[in-house]
Amino acid sequence: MKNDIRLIEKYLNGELSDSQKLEFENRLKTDKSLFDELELCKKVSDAIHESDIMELRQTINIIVQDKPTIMGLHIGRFFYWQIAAAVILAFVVIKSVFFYNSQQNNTSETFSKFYKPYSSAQLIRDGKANSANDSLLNIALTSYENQNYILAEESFKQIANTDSTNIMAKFYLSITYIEQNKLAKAKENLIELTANNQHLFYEQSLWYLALVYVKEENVDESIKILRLAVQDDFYNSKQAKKLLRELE
Amino acid sequence: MESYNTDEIIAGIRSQDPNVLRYVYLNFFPEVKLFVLKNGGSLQDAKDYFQETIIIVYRKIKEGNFSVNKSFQHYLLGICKYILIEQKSKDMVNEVELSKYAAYERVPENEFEQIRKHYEYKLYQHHFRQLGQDCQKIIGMILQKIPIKVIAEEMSTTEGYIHSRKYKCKEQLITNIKSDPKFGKVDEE
Repeated sequence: MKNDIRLIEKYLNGELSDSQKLEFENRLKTDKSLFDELELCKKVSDAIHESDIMELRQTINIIVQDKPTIMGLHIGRFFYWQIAAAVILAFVVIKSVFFYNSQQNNTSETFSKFYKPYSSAQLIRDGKANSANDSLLNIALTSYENQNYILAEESFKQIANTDSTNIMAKFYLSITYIEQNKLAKAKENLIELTANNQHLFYEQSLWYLALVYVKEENVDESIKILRLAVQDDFYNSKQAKKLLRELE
Repeated sequence: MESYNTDEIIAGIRSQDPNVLRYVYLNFFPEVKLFVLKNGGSLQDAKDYFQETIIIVYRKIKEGNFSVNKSFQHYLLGICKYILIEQKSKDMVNEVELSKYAAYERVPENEFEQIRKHYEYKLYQHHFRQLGQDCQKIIGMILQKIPIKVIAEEMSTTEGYIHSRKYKCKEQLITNIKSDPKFGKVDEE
């Protein structure tokens, strides 16, 4: 079978000489198993071309496997208990929320003013991302581009899990976390990324870490990072300067 | 939650809009689940049937031969029931029992081939994704007619390695597909 597959692949790829091609086609007329093998190879190639279907399957899978939620709370045995606890908690914290509300609004507004997701346009056009059947990366970047951050998170996470040295996946994963307001996870990733300044996303990671700190109202930490970015003329240093002025 | 009419649902499935897909799931899955559970399936079966149904519908929409006579929900359930009947028939349920399921809703004859192809391709795609990353990458790039030289550069290796690897990867894929017990079943239909 192995030799047949090689022969079939050469035939499909147009790598046979005219005489070899003729011989192959004559054999096809009498050799049913070769004919079946050829049909299978063609169908498999067609199926692999269906990257859109593979992407859709993954999207639906994420939706279907996701537990139904109401305002972020998972419905389960303790659902009603959770609701009750949430109501009590709301009363307990309402006073402090009231006092901090003004400051929170300010930092939230500042964050919204300066934050925008990192562009993926260059990467999508890049040969690597377009090498189609590196399908997970393709799915991740396309989902990111389409603002489908749930799927993008899942895909970047899988890439980062299988290849812990993939800085790009970790960086984009951080942005998908920010987009979904998963600030703790975003911060954890970005701190890891900023621990080493020898990669391409170091300066970008610093910028987004500063923004996460703003969103978390940790103005002091944000200022420290922004000063560094301005001083060394890092990525987005003009914006960093403006943000620094607002925070100080 | 935003609601969508049939045209918007069709357009949303076509563009793989996650909001529409989530809407379809939240609104139509309960009936699918009820049907599957009533007929001896599990919750996971119901999710699997639902997922495959949406993909079949997507294929039809993409090919431009999708039309709904009653409602989208009726159509979706019809396809889903057919898949369940198919599954039952594969599991050697006798004809009397099978007719019980068939009585629920009729799926037009011309849909059979589509569904058969869908499952066939699903099997191939599953095994493709089980291959190593390098094999997936090489096969994918070869199919895109990307020159071996470029692939070798992309993967920081030699052209000779890619030449030999492309056959090995494809052989591995075909062997894995043929070894899958589902392969025979799909092929027999």
